Amino acid sequence: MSIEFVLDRLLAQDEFRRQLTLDHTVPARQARYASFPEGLDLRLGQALAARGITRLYTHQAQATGLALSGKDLVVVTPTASGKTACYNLPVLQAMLRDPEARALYLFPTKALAQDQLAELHGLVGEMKVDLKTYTYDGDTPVSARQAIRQAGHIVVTNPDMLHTGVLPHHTRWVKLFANLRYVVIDELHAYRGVFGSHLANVLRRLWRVCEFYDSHPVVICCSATIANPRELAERLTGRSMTLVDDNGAPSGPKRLLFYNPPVVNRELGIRRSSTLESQRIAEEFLRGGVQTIVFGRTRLQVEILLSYLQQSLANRLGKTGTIRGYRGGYLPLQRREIEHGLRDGSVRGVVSTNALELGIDIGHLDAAILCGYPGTIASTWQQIGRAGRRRSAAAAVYVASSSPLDQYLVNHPEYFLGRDPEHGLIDPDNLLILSAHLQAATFELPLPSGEPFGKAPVAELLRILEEDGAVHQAGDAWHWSADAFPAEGVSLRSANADNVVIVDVTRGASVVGEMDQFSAQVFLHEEAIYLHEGMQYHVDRLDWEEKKAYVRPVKVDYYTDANLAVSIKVLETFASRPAAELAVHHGEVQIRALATIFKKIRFHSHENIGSGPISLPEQQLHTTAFWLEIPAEVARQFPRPAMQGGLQGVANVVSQVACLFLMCDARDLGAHPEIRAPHTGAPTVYVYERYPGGVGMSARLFETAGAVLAAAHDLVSQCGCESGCPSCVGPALEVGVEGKAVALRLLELAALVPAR
Amino acid sequence: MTADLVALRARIAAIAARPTGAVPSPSPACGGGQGGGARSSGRLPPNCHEEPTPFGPVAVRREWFPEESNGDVPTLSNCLGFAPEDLQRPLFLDTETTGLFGGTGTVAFLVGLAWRSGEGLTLVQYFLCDFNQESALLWAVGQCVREAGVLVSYNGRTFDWPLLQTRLVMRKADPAWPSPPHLDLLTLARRIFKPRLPDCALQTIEQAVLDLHRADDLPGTLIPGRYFAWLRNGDPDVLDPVFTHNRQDVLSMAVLLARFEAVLRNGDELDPLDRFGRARFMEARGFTQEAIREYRRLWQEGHRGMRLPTRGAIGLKLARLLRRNGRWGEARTVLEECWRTQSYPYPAAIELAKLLEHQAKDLDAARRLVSDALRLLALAVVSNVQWRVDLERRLQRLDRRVGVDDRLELALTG
Repeated sequence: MSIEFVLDRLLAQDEFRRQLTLDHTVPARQARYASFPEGLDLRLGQALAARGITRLYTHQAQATGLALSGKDLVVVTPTASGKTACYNLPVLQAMLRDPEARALYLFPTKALAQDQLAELHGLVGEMKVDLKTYTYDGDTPVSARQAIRQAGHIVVTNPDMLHTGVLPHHTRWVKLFANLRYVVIDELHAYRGVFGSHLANVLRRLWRVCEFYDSHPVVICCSATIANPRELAERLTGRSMTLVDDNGAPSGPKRLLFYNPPVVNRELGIRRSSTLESQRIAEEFLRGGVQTIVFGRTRLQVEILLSYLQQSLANRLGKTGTIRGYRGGYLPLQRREIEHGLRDGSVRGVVSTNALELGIDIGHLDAAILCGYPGTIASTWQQIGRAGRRRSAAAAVYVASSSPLDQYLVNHPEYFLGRDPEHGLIDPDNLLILSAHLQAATFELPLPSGEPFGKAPVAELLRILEEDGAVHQAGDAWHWSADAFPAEGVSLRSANADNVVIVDVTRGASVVGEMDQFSAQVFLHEEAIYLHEGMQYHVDRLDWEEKKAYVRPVKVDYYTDANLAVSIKVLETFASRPAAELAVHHGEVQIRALATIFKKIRFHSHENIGSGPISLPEQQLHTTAFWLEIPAEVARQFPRPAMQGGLQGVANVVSQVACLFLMCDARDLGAHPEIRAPHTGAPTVYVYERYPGGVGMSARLFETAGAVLAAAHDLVSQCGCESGCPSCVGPALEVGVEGKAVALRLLELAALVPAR
Repeated sequence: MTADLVALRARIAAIAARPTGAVPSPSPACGGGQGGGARSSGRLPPNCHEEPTPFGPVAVRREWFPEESNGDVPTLSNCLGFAPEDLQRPLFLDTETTGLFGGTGTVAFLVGLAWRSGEGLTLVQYFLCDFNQESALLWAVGQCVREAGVLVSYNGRTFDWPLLQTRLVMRKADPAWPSPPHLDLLTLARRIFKPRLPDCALQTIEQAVLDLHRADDLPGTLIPGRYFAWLRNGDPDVLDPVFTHNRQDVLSMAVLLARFEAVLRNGDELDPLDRFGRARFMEARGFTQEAIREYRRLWQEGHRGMRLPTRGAIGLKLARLLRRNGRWGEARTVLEECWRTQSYPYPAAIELAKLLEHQAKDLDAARRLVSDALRLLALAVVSNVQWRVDLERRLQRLDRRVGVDDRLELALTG
């Protein structure tokens, strides 16, 4: 059965058609080719031909040409557009010409590195030349490391290994650094927020080391579609970049559908479960013989979807075809199996969490169902991109859940289709992050007096380090003078060293992750349900003294939500401006927070099914924030209790919608309303960054405040609930009977700004 | 540095607010102009003077010690594969560093070197007054390395030498140093003394083998701190214990070298466990006859109160070596006694069964032995899965060869 047939049948159902908010066809794209760059080594040309490649797509040719002529570049291409050729070709070409040349490839995860290596090996194997490519990471056996350092032409690694395993030992890597021609940074969009801010500093150290060995590598970055790829690449690498985004890869026509499950309880704003709806839709495709992939937000969802679909397929069709599940952490072997199964048709469908969107290649399917909003527009396109082969038609269906963000998106498909507004944000000069890397840099190579390191007050930082006994000035340079190893104490995925470590007690005390203290009181209190990479964990015990949270995997039908008693002090206002009748600001704040109680809330119905106390000491956080101020004349229009509820409603909806614009996770932001802000006396809503020092989100929020507030207004005004629901300002119980109305009015007053 | 942004900001502001000129002065450095700023207290560590190098002066302390040994090390040279004339010109080397983790931020601030001169040892200690004098220090050390026949160190293969190589790269030292042959005494110590001693740290070996007990030695973990204190305050007294510690490290190596020579030449004076270590070392280096001789002597002395498993292990080593050298009759005698006295019996039985099968060609005897062994093993208090697996495999093999169906017997013996 063809995919068109399945779509027709679906759309023939009134109930289905009524709930669609988008039915759009992305037109087919013809391939656009360009010739191989001049002087391409014969062996490379032959190897490519042997793999069926006789021409390059426009972007591949452009990227290769730029790289070979020594220009730093960033290529932006959606999934399956052959982006790896954009770096493999120039690198291999350079090495064929000069066997001494070396390259460094950076991937965010080991799994990705493994996949790319396989492809590289394939090409090199065809050419039958002595080019050695190796991964160098935590799993590399010690016995192999020496050989890799000496002989590896292409060293494939990840930021963490570069940070602690390579740079502090750079004298063992003389061959690599002295001959480094190319540095490849793939999945650039993954390097945002705190992780990206750290990587920017690791790269600063890398350039220092290259400088020392007198090499000047060309940097090739690859990114998924975000609004500011060039800006992100430039901020990350500190170099100016040429943008290549003329995607020449072909694709068949793609039908995009946005589906909003029908409301089943208008007053409380409850809709039919997105999980069940996704199952239903997926089944239609699968029954029709269409190979389908379904993306779930959490492992629980994935497991529910998987088992239902497996049963359904077995019972109703009696086919021997299977549905496979996919999780992060699958070995290359398992991935190859799924790939083969898809190719030979024995695997009918795959159900996966977001792990699969990260570029790992299991091939392509004909349809993709997105159960819930993946979190960013970029990820949404990536997941949609899993459906569709070169020439045939494909379809993708986004099924919205009841969260505000999901609802906003499903009701504003034009937002999704328009120019991508999501920016990847980093702050490489965040003081805490930078100062940690300044220490590592000094350990690696003495820092000459007056040499800058980012935009930091280096002289003052060095004096502090000297007072602390870590560095010493000799002659003209600052030397590391402590017997500690600075890089070791720095985790690249968090903003400071005193994190709470999350330990899974069922797996021999293995560490699942880390979290900063401030967030830990909200997400890791005892009895919290903590979500990590799609999996639910129950926090059995939080040892605050030891900074350890002991967790255990569970599958439950509720989530927890902690109450924070917050007080905010504005330390410095960076900028202010009016937002129609209101005002917006951003600046530096000090936040004191005390976690008080938590609630257990059932998924989907949002019933409160229990609560409990939290006993933790008060936390302090010094960071950046955005705030919306209601001037006295405006505030006077509302009675105080109503204003209270309205402010809370605005806080709830703005912090959610902000994630849409800032390309961040809801956990990266906190929101807090104050009926009487200490420094102005006016009612104010604060949205603050949870990472000490912030990574640039508040500033961006300030810049895009008009659009964000307008979006928030839209969301609330279009919501069919009576007095508030979890899909807009929050439940009526929380914001009060008039809360929604007041919030709506406030947002109206704020959003009367001219379009950007 | 604090992990608290508030505190950090406050400190930055405090420093930025200081009037220029009231900046805390950088630490004193020794010697002349190379130290920056308005310092140059001109102080040196105790008993040090300055010597010139193409990169400026380097601080050094020189001493001479008479030495008893004449420096002849023919046995060692032979055993370890060094040219005798090389090993007669050893350069003993030990460094004190700013950290134990390695990496490019670790610096060797004191390099102790010694070599034979006259009827004694010249000991030279090069000291890094401040970080910017490193090229001078490296040059001076390099000059000594050039003259060396063999570099002798204690754990230098994995620590001191790679560290110095790193420093050369960091300073872009040119020309490069030669790489003389390297004798790491730790490797030798481990081979011979590890079975008996809790560890092979230099001081453990000093005490156990040389009967040398240091008084008031500065623990290694405190050494970096002393150097940092010097950097900040320029007080030479904090350094004295570091120099003493380093000197003793180097001198001990010289004594140890002579001791190893003596011990390898004649192991009679050693503790039996050390003699066993020595014999294993000899076997590993291919000195079969010497190894057999020593194993046999230990084996024969064994009944004089040696622990049985050890005696059995010796027996096994002896038997294997004998068998490999065609003396299987002698090997058989040894193994039979192991089995009879239940000294390390199961490995002995396995070895004996192989011998009976392949050399003596007595399959029945072999089979009987293996069955007995399995039966006893099943009752043994101390057991080892691998032994059982090996014995069973052997039994199956023998059954196949003998052609007897033994399932019944196995069932009875369980």
